[in-house]
Amino acid sequence: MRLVNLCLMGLAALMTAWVTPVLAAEPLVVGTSNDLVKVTSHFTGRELLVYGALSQPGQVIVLLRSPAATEAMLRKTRTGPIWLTGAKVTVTGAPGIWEMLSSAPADQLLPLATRQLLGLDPDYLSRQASYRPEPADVAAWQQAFLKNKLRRRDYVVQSQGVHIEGGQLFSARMALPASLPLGRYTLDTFLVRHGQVVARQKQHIEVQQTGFQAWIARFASQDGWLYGIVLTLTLAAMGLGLGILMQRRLN
Amino acid sequence: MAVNIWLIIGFGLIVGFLSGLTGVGGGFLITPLLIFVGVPPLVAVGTGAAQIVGASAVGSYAHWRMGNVDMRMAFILLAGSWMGGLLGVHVARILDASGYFGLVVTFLYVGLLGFIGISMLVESTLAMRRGHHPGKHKKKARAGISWLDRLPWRMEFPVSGLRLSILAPVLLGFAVGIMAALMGVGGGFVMVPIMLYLLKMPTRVVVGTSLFQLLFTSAEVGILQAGMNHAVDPYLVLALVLGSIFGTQFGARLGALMRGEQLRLVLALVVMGVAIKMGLGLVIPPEHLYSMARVV
Repeated sequence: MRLVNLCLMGLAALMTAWVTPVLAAEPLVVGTSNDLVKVTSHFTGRELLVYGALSQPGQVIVLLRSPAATEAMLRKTRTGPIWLTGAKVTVTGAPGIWEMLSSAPADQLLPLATRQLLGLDPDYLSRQASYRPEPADVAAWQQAFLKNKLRRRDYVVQSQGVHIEGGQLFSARMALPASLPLGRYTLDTFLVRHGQVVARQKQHIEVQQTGFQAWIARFASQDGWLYGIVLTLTLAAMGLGLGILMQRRLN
Repeated sequence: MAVNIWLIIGFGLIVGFLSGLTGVGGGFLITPLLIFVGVPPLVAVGTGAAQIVGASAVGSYAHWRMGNVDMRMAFILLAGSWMGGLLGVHVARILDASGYFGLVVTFLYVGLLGFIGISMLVESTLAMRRGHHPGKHKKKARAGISWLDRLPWRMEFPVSGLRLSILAPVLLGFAVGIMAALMGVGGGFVMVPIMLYLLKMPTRVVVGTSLFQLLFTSAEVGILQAGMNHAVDPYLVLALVLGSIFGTQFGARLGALMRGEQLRLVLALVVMGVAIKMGLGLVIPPEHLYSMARVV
């Protein structure tokens, strides 16, 4: 039932996205600094620049969202003087990366129901995710999940993150963490006025691993055994070769 | 997990340096250091085991060339350690899936490092006070051998000049294999004293044989950890091996200029420090009750 609801909500969101720009005659034009983020071995967190023009005044919310990720969480409990790992819960269905930047606090721009519908409410995201095995105090886990994601800067809320200049141009800088989950991200830009979304633009950004690193990662996850054998032989050869070389040079 | 690769090379250098200085393999320092910087415990253990392959390859080769390896003994040890490694990696997988692996590793390390640290501390301070190396406690060691003689399946080990039940090396290997899988250590610090004082192997072949068998034990555990648990990080392990090879060479050169018991005192203090830091993690209330973990 929840699934059906979600689908309907998704459809509704999609409809507004399609319909509003036509009615409003392109009130929102958005560009990004890159449509493709390549995660290579030199990648140590990158900025994504989102910019655009507004044809009518309003406030802007920019939302970057990665595909849903699977996470595991541990909770420590106290036994005597020692803190032990108590329970492990797997969290699925929440985005790995979720960044919301806006020109004013989002809760002042849109009513709660709209924010939940559009995926702009982090509390709601953490409650929508599923926790397995289901803990007795699921609310505490939901809060902890959100707190952890915010602390790791996987989830970001910046209520002054979008700058509007002269009521016409807007720009936002999003910092991407170094370890990005791969896949097709969505970048949503909302133009908001009087508590309503008057325009929405949806874009996709591909996050890929490229080059040698991608090859290694694929190799290690798909052929773990072969990878292990090749790596072990490489290490032995490297240790032997370099060791003999160094001894010869030093002696 | 985002870890600075230069920091990891630095760890390799420091641990390699210490190991070159003192002659003790540094596997038991690598895994805790990786855990301290935020590497998930199972990856720290798997990567720690795999790096031993690179770090011990040249030493094993040199001892083998010099004829310091009792091959028959090494293969019987390996029969035990490969079984131990297989079992240990399975246990690690089960513990990690239930979320208890980090805890078990912490307990094992606090116990092991505390034990090694204290015994090295005592031994090196005693030696420094006496001003010379301690004698080989021959009378004490002889007492423990009677039950060993009663074990079945005795076999000749001509290189070591021993006649011994094969159960003893198989069991020793088994214990070392389990340690390699659960802690990412080579286990030389356990194996060498047992070979010397319990099995009474000649000093000449002890180091070579233990190095030779731990190279192949850690190779087996590394392959199992990669294949079964996806727990060997290629970049971490390459950085560690690179650092430790260079560190070992410089450590060995400096070590030749310093007195043995001073070096062992330095290492003992380092080991105690790591044990205390890990132990405090168990008692100090955690800053965050909930933490993110690795998805198996």
